[in-house]
Amino acid sequence: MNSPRKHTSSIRQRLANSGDKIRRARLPKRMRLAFKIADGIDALDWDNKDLADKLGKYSSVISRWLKGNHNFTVDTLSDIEEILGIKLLALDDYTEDKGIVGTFKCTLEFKLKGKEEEDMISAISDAGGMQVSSTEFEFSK
Amino acid sequence: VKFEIVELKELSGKKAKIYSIVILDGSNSDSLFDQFLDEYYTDYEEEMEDIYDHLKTYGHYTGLRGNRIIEHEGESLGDGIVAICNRPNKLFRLYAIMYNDFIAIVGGGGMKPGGGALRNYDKPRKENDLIKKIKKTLDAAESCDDLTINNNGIKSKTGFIYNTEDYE
Repeated sequence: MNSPRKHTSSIRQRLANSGDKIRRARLPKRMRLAFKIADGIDALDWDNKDLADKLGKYSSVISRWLKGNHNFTVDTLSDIEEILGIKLLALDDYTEDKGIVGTFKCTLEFKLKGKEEEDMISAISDAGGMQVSSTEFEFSK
Repeated sequence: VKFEIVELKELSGKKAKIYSIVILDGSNSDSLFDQFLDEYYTDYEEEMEDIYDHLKTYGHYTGLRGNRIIEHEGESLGDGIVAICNRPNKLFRLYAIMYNDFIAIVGGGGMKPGGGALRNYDKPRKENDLIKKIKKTLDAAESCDDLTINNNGIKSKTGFIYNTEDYE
């Protein structure tokens, strides 16, 4: 079974590169937020009015939010998260004061062997020498 | 009408496959969607960006959903003919055939300002008629097992060139 051939065009290429890139980058994020909220409402078997009541808003406000072009505030998203029990603000990768949970040490060892050993040591010495030191890294999970 | 189904490379993604139609009878090798963009881009750049960006978002992030997709734009309920409109002015209708929320075959469209009947707007009406004709052909090709349309996309054993007259 075959698939249709992939098609490109100059007008689409021009459109892809035109306009305000920052504004256009917002669209998929706003739409995903709106659809995630809509899915959250559905998952509870609610309708827009149920969420509106919990937030103290009119259901027309929720309808407007779900159109996918609303500029939500962090507070509103936080409130919706709490009410619907969903995650809208991706903050899980931010760690709060977890402290040092471990250390590791890495040792690099160089061995000079053979006839050229003296020449190499001499060359290193001429170049100002080689300093080997150890460093301890500290990292959080 | 002899036509070919093509996949719109940069719009198609893991959430939805976006296809269009190239009419093979004429001299224009652009897809119907490209012809629509080309016709209105100069005077309505933002509107065309809006429609383009939404199709790309459907393809890569959300699947085909949301209130810009107006259903029941065909002859009968559930025939999959939809119109994709721009916002906020809802000036344009772009006609498409939709299969679930995963596949859209995008045709052409035109300006349809206001809520009047489609018959009053020549360009979008013609594009709507054409996409309905194409849908009938694809339905017939599917029923003959010449074409498979499911969540893996559109597949064919015989190729993707069809003639609306072949299945009449």
